[in-house]
Amino acid sequence: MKTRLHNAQGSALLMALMSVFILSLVAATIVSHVMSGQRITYQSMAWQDSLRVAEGGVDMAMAEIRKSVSDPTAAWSGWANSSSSGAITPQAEALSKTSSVLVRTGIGGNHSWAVVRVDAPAFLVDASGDQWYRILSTGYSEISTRTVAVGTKADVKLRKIDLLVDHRTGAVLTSPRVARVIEVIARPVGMFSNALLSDGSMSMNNHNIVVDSYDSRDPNKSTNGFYDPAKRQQNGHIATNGQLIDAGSAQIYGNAQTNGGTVLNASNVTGQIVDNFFQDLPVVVQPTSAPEPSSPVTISGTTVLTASASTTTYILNDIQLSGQSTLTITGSSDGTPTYTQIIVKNDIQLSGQAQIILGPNVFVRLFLQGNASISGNGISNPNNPRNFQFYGMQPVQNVSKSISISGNGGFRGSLYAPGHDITMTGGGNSDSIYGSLVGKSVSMTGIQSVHYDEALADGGLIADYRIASWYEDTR
Amino acid sequence: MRSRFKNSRGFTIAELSVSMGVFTLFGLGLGVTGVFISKTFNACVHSMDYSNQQMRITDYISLDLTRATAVQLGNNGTITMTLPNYYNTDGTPNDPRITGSTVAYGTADVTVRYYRQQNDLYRSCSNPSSTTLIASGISDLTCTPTDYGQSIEINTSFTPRFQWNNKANVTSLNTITSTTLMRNQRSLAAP
Repeated sequence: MKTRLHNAQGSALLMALMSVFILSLVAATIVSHVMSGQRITYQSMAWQDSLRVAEGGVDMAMAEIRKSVSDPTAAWSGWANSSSSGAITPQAEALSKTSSVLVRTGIGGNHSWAVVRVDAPAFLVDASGDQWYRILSTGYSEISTRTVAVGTKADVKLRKIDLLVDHRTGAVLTSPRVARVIEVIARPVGMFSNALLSDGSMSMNNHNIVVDSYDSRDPNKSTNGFYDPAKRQQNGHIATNGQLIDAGSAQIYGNAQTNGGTVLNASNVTGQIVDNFFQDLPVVVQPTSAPEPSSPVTISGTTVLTASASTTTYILNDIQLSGQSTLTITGSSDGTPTYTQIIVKNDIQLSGQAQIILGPNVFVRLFLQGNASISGNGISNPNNPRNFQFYGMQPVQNVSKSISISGNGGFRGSLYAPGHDITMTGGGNSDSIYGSLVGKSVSMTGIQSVHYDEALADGGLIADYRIASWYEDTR
Repeated sequence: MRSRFKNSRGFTIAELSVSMGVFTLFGLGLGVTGVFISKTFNACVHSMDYSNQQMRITDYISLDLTRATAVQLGNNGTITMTLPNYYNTDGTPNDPRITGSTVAYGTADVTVRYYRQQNDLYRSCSNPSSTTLIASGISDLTCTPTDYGQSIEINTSFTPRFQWNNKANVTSLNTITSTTLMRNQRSLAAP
């Protein structure tokens, strides 16, 4: 009896042990798979997180670059700088900010942070002489798993988890982490990124008005650098920092953009109706250059001014031309580029058949303190719109200034006058504007066309910086 | 003692029937449990494996979409992209070059293509020329891209093998939806 009982207990124990072993094996395999899946999930989360902090680093760098336009004295505050001048300048050494950027604590007490580096290399200077910036942002994120590589070869190749050593720098690590590197190129954006821009109201009351675009740099979008209606582009955007655009059923080949407002009579707007637009409009201040000794005080009859390779400056009280009087700005006889800036302290008035004429390859910057009435035969610019830049300096507070373009007063150029009311009454035979206009308010009451040259976005005064290129370096 | 020998000589029909019935029931229970455990185990492995493949597919495609300049969606979930030629032949980065209002790297752009071949998903790259197996044995997985202009949505779905009397509510699709914003201005030119 004793023996039989003993045998029976052993058999049951063996069966129980085998059952427990099989169940444990199954459980261990499942737990192993679950752990592996959990590690992959954590590593994937850290991989995603490192991209977010890297992009946060880019945002911080972009904010500093933008400050260099809007608030230069506050720009780059707190950034380590290896250049001797203390400011980021073309060809300067890289600025860098390390370890204290965007440190944050996530799941399991893991840290994420970004290391950002900004430089301004010589090969990132464009044809206008403007500097573009390169931002290198590395986002790091710690991982709350043991130092175990998980997943397939494709997982390892994709996420490149650093378990013990940083594979880029060779630095020994105290905890596993992921690093992702983004290279972003920031390009300057000129004041003239729209065909028409007003700080306040914009009004067009004629359905025959046409606003479209071309690109004087691209033969597919222009002919010999000039507007060709057959190659019309649809980037003739109109915009306001205010709440209202009355499009007047004008033909707008582009977007109509307001600052949280509405667009009336937008039946012929081919682009989007955008309601979150805003562009900072810095005031124009008078250049400090000394005038030429031969600079006249007032121009009231036919006059010739000379541009030079090193920028000549003329400071005038007024330009008052009537009848058949002309103001001609000549350049070099061999056609090489020449430059001049003309500062008018009071008013500009063209009437009758008067005209301002630019010579070939002459670049003119015209600064106006007072009012302008451009009628007569307007401004003759045989070059592209970048050659003629017309700036309205900021009026004193509560004083209204205006610039009116009428008759045949159209021109090829850009007008930036955020403190002036701009009116275009049109009606002449050659009353088109080939370029871009920025004003305190913009009103078009006649049959007048604005053909925006997209090349203007890359020249003139810098209003902002935007991301031109984004690339993640996956080495 | 005598009665013990007498007892050990055999069992009655009733005793045999009862014991066989008990053992049969026990064996059947063990077998059914084993089958259930095996099915559950396989379903768990299948689900985890496919979830990992989903994450990998989504991460790979998203990574390339963020830096792409042009995208074209083809048949059978094929995605073709144009990427800047960032890397030199020795693997170091090319310097960026200003071209108009944009930036270029190197001499020619790189074409990256995601395509399915039977039950595998591949990523091919034109420069440096390479083909990488991204996911394998994904007969139950679908990968569907949708074009939203500057954003591309990737839906990866599979049906888990967990079942209870073939009820649909435990075999519904397991889907990851990932919408990726192309960071670079998208070119309308086909890759």
